[in-house]
Amino acid sequence: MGNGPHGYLAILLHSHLPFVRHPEHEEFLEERWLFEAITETYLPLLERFHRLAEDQVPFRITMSLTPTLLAMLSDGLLQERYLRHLDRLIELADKECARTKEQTAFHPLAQFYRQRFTTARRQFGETYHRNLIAPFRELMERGYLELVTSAATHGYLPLMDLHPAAVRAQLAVGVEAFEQAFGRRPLGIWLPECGYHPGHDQMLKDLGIRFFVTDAHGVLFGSPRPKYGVYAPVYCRSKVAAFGRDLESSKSVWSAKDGYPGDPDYREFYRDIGFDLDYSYIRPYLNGDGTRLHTGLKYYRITGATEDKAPYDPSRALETAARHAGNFLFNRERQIESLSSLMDRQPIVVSPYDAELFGHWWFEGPDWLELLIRKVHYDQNVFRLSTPSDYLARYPRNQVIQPTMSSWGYQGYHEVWLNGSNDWIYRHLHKMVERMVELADRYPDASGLEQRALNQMGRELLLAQSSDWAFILKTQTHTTYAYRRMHDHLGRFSRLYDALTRHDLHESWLTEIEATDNLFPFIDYRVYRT
Amino acid sequence: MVKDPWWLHAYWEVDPSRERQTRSQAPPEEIGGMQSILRVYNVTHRRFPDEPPNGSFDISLSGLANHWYIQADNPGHEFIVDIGLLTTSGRFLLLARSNRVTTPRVGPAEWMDETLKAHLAGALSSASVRARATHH
Repeated sequence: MGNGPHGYLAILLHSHLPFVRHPEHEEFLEERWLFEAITETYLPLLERFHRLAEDQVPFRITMSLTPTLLAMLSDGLLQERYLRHLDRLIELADKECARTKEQTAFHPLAQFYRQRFTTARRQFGETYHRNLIAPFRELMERGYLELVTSAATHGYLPLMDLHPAAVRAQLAVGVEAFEQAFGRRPLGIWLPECGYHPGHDQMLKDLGIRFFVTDAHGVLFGSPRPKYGVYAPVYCRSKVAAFGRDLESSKSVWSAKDGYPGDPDYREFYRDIGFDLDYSYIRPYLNGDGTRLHTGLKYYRITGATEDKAPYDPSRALETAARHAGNFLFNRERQIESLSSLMDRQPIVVSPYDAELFGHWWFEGPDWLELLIRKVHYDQNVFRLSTPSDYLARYPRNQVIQPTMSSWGYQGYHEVWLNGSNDWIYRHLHKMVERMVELADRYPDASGLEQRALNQMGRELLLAQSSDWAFILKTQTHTTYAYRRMHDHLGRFSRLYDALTRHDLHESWLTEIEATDNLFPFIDYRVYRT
Repeated sequence: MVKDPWWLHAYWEVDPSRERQTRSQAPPEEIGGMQSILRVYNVTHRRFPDEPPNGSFDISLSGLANHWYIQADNPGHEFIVDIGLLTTSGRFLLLARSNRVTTPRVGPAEWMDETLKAHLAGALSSASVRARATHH
């Protein structure tokens, strides 16, 4: 190994939001998921990546941006609405600066938020001209980010396996969306929820994809037994590589109890002025129905297991983030040193996280990541940051095994997406696929209105398949909305199916749903042909 | 569908006319005590139904059930499930047959590639599955 590093760390940030866009309403609660993620995660990450690049700190991070997220980030209506959302936040922060004038603990925080929101507005509007895909693409082209794709609408693929055409379409549309956004074919894919089913690797192979990530047991329980555990990729028989998730590094960031994000110095997510302040004062900043909600102005730190929360102190939180970055660095150095002494090659530690954990849930997450990247570069020589495709270029020969079916959900399999709260959706989803395949085979060469209707059926089917609806039905947080979405897409799909089979298509209605569910303009229903 | 290494999930929709037709195959004296059941076949490495299953078990269904969680308790095996009617004399009348599913194996594989065996270090297998941090 000479003077090279002992091994590599591959951090993978998976960013995903379901497609939520409601032009039929002036404002819509669930559209805030995107707005909050832009303000709290995507812009802060971009800002830090750019700062690192400016300071000539080399780094390699892998990121997936799901096709639904890409569709929303490039949507003019949502871009416009995001700016309107920010303008109202800035107005609220202005009011907060005035209201807290005499409160020494809170006034600097109100100013802190006003500064953040105005910066976000400037970055989004002026620096990036409302288009956040371009800066991610640029960071990829400059060699800082390895971007990978995901399934079209984050469909949970193992439970779709009954119909290979359904899996293939999720993957093919995902690859196409990536190419449209980033001008090249993706080398890797983030399988939604790390959900792998044997055989799907061959479909990835057919699309030119070279690697995916499984949870640790997907590789560890594979057969024959993986020689290096999860610390080197394995090839499926299709020659597509599977990288197993490292549990040790995952836990320190993921775990709400033992992980960094639960530190008392960090910002408390669940205390927000949207719930704390006088209703009439906050009412103008709530949505139409006036339900209290998270505004994003949060004044307290986690403090401890108490309801009596202390005011948030950003500089103290930053110091803690630096300490945690140092701790993570130290643990990876020891881990990689120890692994490399047991292996005849450099190990790779793969640490995937939901991107929205950084900034949205763990407010200081983007700071932690920036500090970690700096420390990796300046403070040690044991390991370097790398990406799956870098590693495959260095080590093109790998053991061939069959990974097992698995996911990173609770208990490691499909329980989150298949249980008493959501199992009813699958009979509908499967029926939709059968009908889609039936019509795709019946119309090998549709044109005009029929072609548009078949393409729209593909969109409605893909949208109904988003794993998010099953997840929400399970967690019972926005249940009504998940029901509504299943109902809407199923309804639109069935109506299109009936109209096509009865030769009774109405253009005005078709045009209307095309304008509502307007993602994937490139879709070709023939992807469902058998 | 497979839920995890130990559990399967089956759903069905039986056309009432199909059920009536199937029912009428039984002799009149057996129609009264008929019971809807799921018959779960372990078909690992078998070309079922041309080859017999490795084993099977029945689950009695309550009247209006249209889906069922099946405790197969057999990781790394293949299953096919029939839904049908069981007569008092033990005759099984098939209503519908499922697709084939395979439960994932659990635990590290016994089988190691011999050429690689010598390289396997103990510390690596200790990386075997620990409690995973709960997602979300």
